[in-house]
Amino acid sequence: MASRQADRDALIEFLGSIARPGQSLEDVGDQDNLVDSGIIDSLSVIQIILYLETTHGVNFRALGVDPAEVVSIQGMLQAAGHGQ
Amino acid sequence: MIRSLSQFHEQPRLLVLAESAPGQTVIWLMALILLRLHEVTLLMPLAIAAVMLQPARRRLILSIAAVAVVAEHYLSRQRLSIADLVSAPTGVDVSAWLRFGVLLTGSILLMYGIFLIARRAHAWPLLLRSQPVLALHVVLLLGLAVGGLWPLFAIFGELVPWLIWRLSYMVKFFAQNNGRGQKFSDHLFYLWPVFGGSRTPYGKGLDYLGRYEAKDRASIARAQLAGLKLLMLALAWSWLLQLFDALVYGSAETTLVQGLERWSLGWSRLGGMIGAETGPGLLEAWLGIYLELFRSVLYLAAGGHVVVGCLRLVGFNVFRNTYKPLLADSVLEFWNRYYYYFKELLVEFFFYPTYLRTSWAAPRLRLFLAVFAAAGFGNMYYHVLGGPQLIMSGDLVGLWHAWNSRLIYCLLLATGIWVSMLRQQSRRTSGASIGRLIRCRRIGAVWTFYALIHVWNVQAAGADPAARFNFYLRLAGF
Repeated sequence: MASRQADRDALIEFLGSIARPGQSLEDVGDQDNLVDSGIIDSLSVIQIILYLETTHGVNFRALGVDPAEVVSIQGMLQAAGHGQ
Repeated sequence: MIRSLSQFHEQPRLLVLAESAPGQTVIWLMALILLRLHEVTLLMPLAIAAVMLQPARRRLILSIAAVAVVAEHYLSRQRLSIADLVSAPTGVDVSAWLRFGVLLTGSILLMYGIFLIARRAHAWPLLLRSQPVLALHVVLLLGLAVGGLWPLFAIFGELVPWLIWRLSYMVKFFAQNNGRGQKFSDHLFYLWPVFGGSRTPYGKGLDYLGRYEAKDRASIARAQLAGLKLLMLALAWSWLLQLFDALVYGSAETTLVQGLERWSLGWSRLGGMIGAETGPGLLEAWLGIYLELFRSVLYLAAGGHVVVGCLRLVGFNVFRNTYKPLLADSVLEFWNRYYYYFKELLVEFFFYPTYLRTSWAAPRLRLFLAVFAAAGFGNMYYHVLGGPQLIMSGDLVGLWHAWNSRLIYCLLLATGIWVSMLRQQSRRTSGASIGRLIRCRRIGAVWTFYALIHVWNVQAAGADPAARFNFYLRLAGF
C-alpha cells in the first residue's frame, strides 16, 4: 500500500514535469483522461511510456497494453503494476 | 464583457434555458439558419431535430441518416434525381436506377460485412489479431488491385480512401474491446457521417466519440451551444476568407465580396508564383508564403468548425479540429493545433505502434523513428491512398511524378517535429518560463518554418521539384 502511494507520488511529480504550461494536476481525478482534459497532448504519452518502461520495467508490447490506456493516473498505476 | 460574450455557451442561465423545450427550438432554428448559410444539405438539420426528440436513439438516427448520405452520393454520381422519378416515373432510365440500387445496397453490405468480421477481431488468428489495422489495409489494398479489373468493383474501390481510416478505427476498437452487444448502428454513423468531414475521420471512431457523447439534458445543451458557437465562428472565418481572397488575390466568386476585386493587390497564389516563368519580387515572395499559410489555416478552420459544430449539435462534444495554430510557439504545438484529427490519425496508427516496437533503440533514435513513421511515412501513405487510381493501375512512375514534392514536404515536416520534440523535452526539464518577447519570436519562427515547407505542399501546376527549389533561391534574393 505504501509502495503504491510512493509510486503515485512519484508519478504525479513526473506528470507535473510534462504537463502543458499553465496546466495543473490539482483537480485531476485518478480516472480522468489527461489528454482529453488538455493537461498533456497525445504526443507526450510517449514520455509516460518511457517513464513506465524505465522506472517500472513495463514492456508495453509484450503486455499488449495500448498507449491510450495510460492516459489516466489509474491506467498508469495499473500499467506500473504489470511491470513489477 | 467580451469574454462572457465569446464564452456564451458556458453561461449557467443560458444552459438552463437551452435545456427547455423553447430553448431547444431556438437552438434548432439557429442551427438550421447557420447550416443553410454554410450550404449544408437539409439532411443535417433533420438529423439534429430527430436526435433532439430522441437523444437515446442518437446512433440509430445518425446511422439512418448515413444511409441517406450514401444514397445521395450515388444519386449524384449517377446523375439521378428523386424529383424526376416522382414527376415523370414513366420516363426514367431503369438501368441507371437499378445500378443505383446495386451500388447503394452493395456499399451498405460491404460496410456491414466488414463490421461483422471486425466484431470478432478478438477471436481472429493471433497473427491478424496482433496487427488488426495492418490486416485491414492489406485486404483493402489487395481489393483495390483486384477491383481495378472490373468496372463495378472499381466504383467500390473509390470508397476505399473515404472509408479506410474510419474502418481502421472500427477494427482497432474491436481488437481492444469485446464486440458483444455492439450493433451495426453503433458504428455506421461514423463510417459515412451525416456530419461530414474529409478522408480524415473527424471525431475518430466509437472509442473517442463514446467518451464525448452527452448522456443527460444538461450536457446535451452544453454540447449544442458549443456547436452553435463553432458554426458562428466558421461563418466568420468563411467570410474573412472570401474577403481575403478578394482583396489579396482579386478572386471574388461570391456575391458577398463582388466588386471588392477593384481594390485587390492582384497577387498570385503561392502555387502560381512557383509555377510562373518570371518570378515575384523578394518582398512579394516572402509575403506570398506567409499569406498562403494564413489562408490555409483560415480555410481548414472554417471547414473543420462546421463538421465539429454539427457533431456537437447531435451531442458529441468533441475537440475542435483547428485551435489557434497561429499562436503556437513550437513546431510541435502547431502540428497539434492545425489539423487535430489528421494528427491523431497519424499518432494512433503510426507513431504509437512504431514507438512501442522500437524499445531496443536509444530514446532519441526511438523518437526519430516514431516521428518519421507518422509525419513522414504515414503522412505520405495517407495522401497516396487518397488517389487510388494510380495504385490500382500499378503506375509507379505516375505515383512518383504525382507525389515527389509531397515526399520532400513530409520529410521536412518530420524533421521539424522531431527537433521540436527534443527541444520541448529539454525545455520541460529545465522548467524555465519565457517572456512575452521570446514567445513572440518563437511564434514568428514557427510561422516561418511552416510557410517555408508549404512551398513543397502547395498545388502548383507544372512545377517540378526544381521549380520549387528555385523559389527558395528567389526567397534568398537570387
